[in-house]
Amino acid sequence: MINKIKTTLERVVEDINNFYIKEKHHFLTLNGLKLDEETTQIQWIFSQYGEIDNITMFYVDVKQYEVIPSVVKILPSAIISQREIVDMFGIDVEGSDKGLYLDEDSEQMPLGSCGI
Amino acid sequence: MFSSVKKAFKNLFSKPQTIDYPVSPIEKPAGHRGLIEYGEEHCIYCLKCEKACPPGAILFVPTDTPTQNPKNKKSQEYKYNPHLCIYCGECVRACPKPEEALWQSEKKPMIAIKEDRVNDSWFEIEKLKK
Amino acid sequence: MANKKIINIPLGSQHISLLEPVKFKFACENEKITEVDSDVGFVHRGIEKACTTKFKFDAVPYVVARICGLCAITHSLCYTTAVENLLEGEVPLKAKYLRILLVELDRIHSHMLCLSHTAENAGFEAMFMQIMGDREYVMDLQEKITGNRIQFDYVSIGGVNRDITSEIIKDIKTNLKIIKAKVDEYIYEFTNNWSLSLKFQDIGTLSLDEAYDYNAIGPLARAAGLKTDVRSETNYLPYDEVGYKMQLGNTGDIHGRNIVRLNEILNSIQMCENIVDGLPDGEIFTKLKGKPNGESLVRLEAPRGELMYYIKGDGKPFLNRVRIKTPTFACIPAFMEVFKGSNYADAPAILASFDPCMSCTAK
Repeated sequence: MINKIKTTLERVVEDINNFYIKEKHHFLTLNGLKLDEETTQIQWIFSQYGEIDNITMFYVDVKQYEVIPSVVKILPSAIISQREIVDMFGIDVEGSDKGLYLDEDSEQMPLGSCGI
Repeated sequence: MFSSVKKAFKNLFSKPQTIDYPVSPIEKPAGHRGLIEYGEEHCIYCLKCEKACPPGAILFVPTDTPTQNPKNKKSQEYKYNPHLCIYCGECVRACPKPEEALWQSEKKPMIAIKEDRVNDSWFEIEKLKK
Repeated sequence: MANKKIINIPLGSQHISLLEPVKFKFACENEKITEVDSDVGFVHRGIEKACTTKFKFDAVPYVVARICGLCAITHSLCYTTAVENLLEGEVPLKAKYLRILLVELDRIHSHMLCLSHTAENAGFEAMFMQIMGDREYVMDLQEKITGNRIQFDYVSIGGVNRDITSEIIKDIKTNLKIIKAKVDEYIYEFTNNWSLSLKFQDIGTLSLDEAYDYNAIGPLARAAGLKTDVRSETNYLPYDEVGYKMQLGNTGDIHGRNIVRLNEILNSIQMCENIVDGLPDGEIFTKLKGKPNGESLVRLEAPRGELMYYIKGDGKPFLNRVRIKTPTFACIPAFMEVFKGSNYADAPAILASFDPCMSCTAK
C-alpha cells in the first residue's frame, strides 16, 4: 500500500523538509503522470530503510505554465530526476536545463500535454 | 612461487578452452528455440496466435485461393515472418491445439539476402491486412 | 605567486577503457579533479512511450526485457509482479522458486563480468580471459533451463514457461561446484596480489555520511557500510526461506567493492544449491483474469542496485503510465561526488568499479 499525501506548490519544500530524516528515509525518484489535456501530477516517492514495503508519496497537480520548486538542497540526488521531468513533460523546474535525453531537432515533450 | 610452477605444469597437459568453430560444430542442448511450424489441416482459424504475438510476426490476410478447410469461412491465409519473430513461443501457448496446428521446432532460421526483398514483401502483406 | 591554471579534460564517449557510452568533463588543477560535468543519454530509445501506445499490457514483458542485456530477467520480472498485483489470482510457489533461481544465476554472471573488467584495467589480461571463460559454465546452465543464453523470455504473467527436469538439476550441481572452486581462487588473488586490487585501497572512497546524503544503492552503498538491500525489504519472493545473508564492508573504496561482489557470488551459489535441493511440487503456471485497474509500485534487487516500476491502468488493454527507475540512473549524483578530489589517472579504475550500465540509464 502507498501512503499518498496531497500538498501544494508553495508548501511542498517545507513538507518534505519536515518529513525527511536522513538515516531513516530513502528517496527513490520523481515521477510525472498526465491526467488530462492541461493537468499533470508530479510525485515525490520515498521508502524506509529496514521496513517491508513502507512507501510514502507526496503529490501535486500542476498546469503547463507553472514552475516547480527545486528540492536539491534537501535531497542532493534529485538533480538528475528533475532534468528528466523537464525533457519528458516540458514543465519548468528551478535550476534544471533541457537536453538530458533529447536533441534540439527531435520531437519535444513526448509524454506531456502537447504530445499524445 | 611453488604453486605457480605447479599450475603451469598442469596447464601444459590440459586441452584448450576454445572451440574451433566452424571446423567442429557447436553442440546445442535439447529444447533450444527454433522456427515456428504450421499444420494447416488442423487449424480452426480462431486467430488467437495473431493477437498473442508481441512483434506481430503472424498475420492472416484475405486471399483469392482459399484452402479446402471447412473452418476457413473468411478465405484467409497464414503468413509468418521468421525475421521479425523473437522465438518466444507465446503463439504456441495461446493455440487451442498446440501439437497439431502450431508448434516450435529446432530448425535454424534462414539468413536474409538482399534478393529476397524481405522487408518490402512484408510491408505489402501488411497493407493487405488493412 | 603563480596562478593555478584550470584545464578541462574529457573522459569522452569514445575512450579506450570504457565499455559504455558516457561522457564526463573534468576540470583539473595539476592532476587533481575539482569539478565534474556528465552527459548520459546517448542511447535513448523512447521505451516508456512505446509501452503505453504501441504494445498491449501482456506484450510489455518482452519489450521491457530488451532494455538491457545483463539485467534482462529483473526488468521483466519486476513488471510482471507489478501487473499481477492488479489482477485476480495467485502465482504458485514452485514458479516463485524457479524465478529466484534464475535471478541469482543472473547475478553471478553479471558480477563476474564486472570483476573481469576490473582485472583488465589493472593490466592483468590473463585473469580477464580466465574469468570470461569460467562465465561460460553459468551461460550453459541458463541455456539448458530456458533455451536462450542472454534474453531468457522465461517469465510470463501467471508463472514461468518451462519446467525443470532431474538431468538439469544434476548439471546445475556439477557446474556450481566447479564455479565455487574457481571463485575461491579469485578471492585468494584479489586479497593477496598487490597490483590487482590492494593498490586501490583508499582510492575512490564514498564514506557512510555521503552514502546517506546521496541515497546510494547496491554494492556501492553496502561497501560503505549502509545496510540497505531490497531482498530484505520486500516479500514478493521467498528470500528468507532460501538462505539469504547481507554482505557488508566498511571501507567504501575500490578494494572494498570488489570484496563485497565476491562475497555476494558465494552467497548466490549457496542459495541456488538450497533452491534445487528443496524445490516444492506443483504447477508452474496459472491463468490470471481481468485487465489492470489501479496503481502499483514494485521494487526488486538487480545486480547493480534497486530497480523500481510504477504502473497505472484503468481497465483498458493499453496502460496509462509505466515509470522505470534504474539503479545506475539514481546513482549518477553519487558517482560525480566520488570523482572530486582524486587524481585524473585513477578515473578509469574508479569508473569500472561502479559497474555502470548505460542502456538501462538512457532508456
